[in-house]
Amino acid sequence: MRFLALLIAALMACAAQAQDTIKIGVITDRVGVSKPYSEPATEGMVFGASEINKKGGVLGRKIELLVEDDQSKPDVSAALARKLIDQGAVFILSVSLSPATQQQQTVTMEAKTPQMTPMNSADYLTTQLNNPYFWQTGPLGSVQIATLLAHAKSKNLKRVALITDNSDLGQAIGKAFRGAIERAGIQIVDEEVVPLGTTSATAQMQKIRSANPDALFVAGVVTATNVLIFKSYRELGLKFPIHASYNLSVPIYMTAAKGLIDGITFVDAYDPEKAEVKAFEAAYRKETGKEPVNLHGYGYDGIMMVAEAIRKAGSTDKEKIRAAMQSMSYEGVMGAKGMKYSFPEGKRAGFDPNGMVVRVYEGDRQGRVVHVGQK
Amino acid sequence: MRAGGFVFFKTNHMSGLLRWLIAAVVLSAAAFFMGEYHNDVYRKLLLWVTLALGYNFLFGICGQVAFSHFAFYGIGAYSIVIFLFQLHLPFPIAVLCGIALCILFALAVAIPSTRLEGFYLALATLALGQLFIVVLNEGGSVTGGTGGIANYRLPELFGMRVRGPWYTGVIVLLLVFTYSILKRLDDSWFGRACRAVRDNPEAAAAMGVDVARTKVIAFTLTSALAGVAGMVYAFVDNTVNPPIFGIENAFLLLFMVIVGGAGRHAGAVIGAVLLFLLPFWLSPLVGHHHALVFGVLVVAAILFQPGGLIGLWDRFSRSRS
Amino acid sequence: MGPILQVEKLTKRFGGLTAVAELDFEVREGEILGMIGPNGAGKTTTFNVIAGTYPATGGEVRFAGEPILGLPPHRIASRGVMRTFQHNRPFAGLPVIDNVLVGAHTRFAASLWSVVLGSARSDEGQRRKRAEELVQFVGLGELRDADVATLSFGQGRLLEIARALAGEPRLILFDEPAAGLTPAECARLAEIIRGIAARGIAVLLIEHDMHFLLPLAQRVVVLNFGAKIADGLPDEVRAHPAVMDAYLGSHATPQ
Ligand SMILES: Nc1ncnc2c1ncn2[C@@H]1O[C@H](COP(=O)(O)OP(=O)(O)OP(=O)(O)O)[C@@H](O)[C@H]1O
Ligand SMILES: [Mg+2]
Repeated sequence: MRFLALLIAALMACAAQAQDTIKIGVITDRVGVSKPYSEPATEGMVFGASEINKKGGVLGRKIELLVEDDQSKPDVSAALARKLIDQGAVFILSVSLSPATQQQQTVTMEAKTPQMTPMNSADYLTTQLNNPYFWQTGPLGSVQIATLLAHAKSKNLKRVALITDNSDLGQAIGKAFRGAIERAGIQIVDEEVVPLGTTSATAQMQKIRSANPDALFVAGVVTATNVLIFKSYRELGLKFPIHASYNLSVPIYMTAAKGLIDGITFVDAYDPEKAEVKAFEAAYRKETGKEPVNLHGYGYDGIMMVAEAIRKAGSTDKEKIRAAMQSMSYEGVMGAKGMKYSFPEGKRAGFDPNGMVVRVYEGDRQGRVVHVGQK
Repeated sequence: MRAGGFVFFKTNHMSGLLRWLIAAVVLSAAAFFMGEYHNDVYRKLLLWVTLALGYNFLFGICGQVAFSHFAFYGIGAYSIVIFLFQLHLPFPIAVLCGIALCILFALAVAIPSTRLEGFYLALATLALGQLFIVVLNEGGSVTGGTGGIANYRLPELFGMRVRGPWYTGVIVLLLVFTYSILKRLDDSWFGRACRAVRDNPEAAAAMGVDVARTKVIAFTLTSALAGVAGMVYAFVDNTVNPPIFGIENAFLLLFMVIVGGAGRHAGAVIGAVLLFLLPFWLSPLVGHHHALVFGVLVVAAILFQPGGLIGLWDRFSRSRS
Repeated sequence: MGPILQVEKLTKRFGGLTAVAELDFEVREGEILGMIGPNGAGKTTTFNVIAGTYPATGGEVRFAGEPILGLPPHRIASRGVMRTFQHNRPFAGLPVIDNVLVGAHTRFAASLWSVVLGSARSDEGQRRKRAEELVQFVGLGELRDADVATLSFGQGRLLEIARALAGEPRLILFDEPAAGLTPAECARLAEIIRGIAARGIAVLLIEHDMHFLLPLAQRVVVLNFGAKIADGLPDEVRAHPAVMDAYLGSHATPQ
């Protein structure tokens, strides 16, 4: 009898221990199209969680990340959201494809489970569904373009050229660029498309040269074609400045376009001179022995904000976490100096529209900030 | 009877309808013993199985290499949502319009391209698949662009809203409906004509088979079935978006049929179950390497086992008897 | 009995090559008409034009009194003209019995709708029984459910015949059915062909092997370079000097 009681006590202790962690779901992509973005962001979250746990966790409990791979498939993604909720996740962080995040929302909305994407930039994520359990802290696509154009305006550009690739996203961003440039009253003197799979962009760049623009906007998102563009730019000895989309903030260019990118400016949400960034990079290097990039910062900020929300809520009650999240104001790694994520007036897209920066490649490294915000 | 069919469906004592009914009840009942997650995976698996059965008829039985199956799935899904929630058509009318739209598109693709060599069908359907995604992405407020359409739900029918495991039952009905049509066709002169066209079109024509008509009918019918499946899919997560209906999934469907065993219903079922569930099983064990296992499996099936897994099973059961 | 097939001035050119030149002949019901000629004489091409596989360059073909030139192959088949191929063309993915059932394609009564709806009482069973009889008739009874890949060459020839018969033809076109068969198989084949003609089916029989053809055919047409150089009773044709020259001359070795 006493043995039985002991056994039950032991079992209950085990159960308590198991329950002791706070489970946070992560839906990432390890094999699909958004893998290059999802993986560093996930590493940033894992690092953040270990930092939190080292400092004693949240509400005296450790954080446990439940990481799932959705292969960038929205239908699989929604199923995984159900799995995470079934497993007791009190919050879901989404760093896969935007449509995948969207399809997860149909689940989190129904299950009233808080969800956030710290990275997706699609504008529709917080507008299409009225899901009070969802937040987005990645910078919106529209903010990226506005920031890039604000920088262009400060350079007093009158006549520009635009180049992109023929991928779906490349076309979409190209279209958005065109609209924004025209709205800003800047004339587009030439527009070129580099098809995927070609081996040279020289013909397109020659046409652009003969149009003699003040600057060239690069809206393409496929690394290979962008590298071709920069190669022709160097070979033809062109001098007009290049302003590139957010895609150039992906670290791959530092190696893939070695020797080609010095002086190119690009939009980013990361300022290496910021104190928080310096601290984050040093800690990350120390812990993992690896060099962090901007994408790690998104994941890191995401998990930190979730931990903060739970701390503020004082419980793992999903409704209390929701309320805490909505009233959050948080300064993290990402964004211009002093930028705070916040969700005033029921808004759920929390990246400050003036929080993006324009940076410049110095040699092969992503260098200093040359412009801040949309003004 | 071909070897390796469902043993379950072979019981001769029961009348046809009863057999289908029992299959539907058993498959639906399973949903009530599952949690939310497994139910969702089950729903999506059943949809893949439905698609694989239809595609197997087109590719495996009729020998047409087409990549438009997911485009038709998407046409069905988007059209029901647009007809119901933007044009506010009554439910039955919306369903009929959706089917009509699929048939129209299928005929538009099939009639010109099936008259040419098979290669052109592959090209035409590949183009259709790509074009469809472009249209979805560029469709503005009608298609919702890259974000698709959300924020709707299945209308109440007879004062009831079908959801959860009950909706799984709807998908089971879809599967049984699709399979019963395909099975009837396959067991008839039409199915044989399709196989004859696949194996030797000239000899088939000499035997009185209208090759072009057979191809067009098979293409249109399976495409319409894919469209109906798409309509059911639209209410699984109550959202439709472009990535689901792209070329990538069209290829996955092709691989499912090849790995399972082209030309065999059971093969399509096995291929769909295996390749859909593989990442779910393997991901916790080997992480992202499940993509590698997937690739190896597909290549191995194509190189070493053209009859697919069902062919392997045949050989095994033959050597035993 | 009257002619079921009438061929008049049939011409087929492939570019500059005239494969069939102004060919005239007719086949009567229940008759076995032999067609001989050296390699490349245009025999198979004649079949292909009659069966609708190739369009004719000129001339006229009437089947049961109606012109059939220009009809697609499946229409000609459904009117009752069935054929075998010089080289076996089975449906490799179908077992023997189903190959034969494809031959019966045009004879199924159930519409596609009734198949889909499962409504009409299917004639599938009845057709299958009939196909089984045909498989028996040509001597493949044991191999009814066999994979066609396991058939010997000779069995493949027999399958071609059973498949063509399943279409309930009024005219059947045989393209060298005896080629590659053993003497014993040839003897059986001759029996089968006689049996077919005895049912009132007209038989047009291409054959190289004179020893096989001459005893079987009631009349013989001889082609050379696409043109008819002789026709008549087997014995007359055998003795015809032009035939000796053009055909037998090169094949003079007694077989
Ligand atoms: N599709 C085609 N295109 C071009 N030429 C062809 C075609 N079919 C047949 N021919 C030519 O037409 C001529 C007659 O060929 P056909 O096959 O009818 O001869 P055949 O009498 O059946 O010969 P065999 O005894 O060798 O079977 C040959 O010169 C052949 O090369
Ligand atoms: Mg020939």
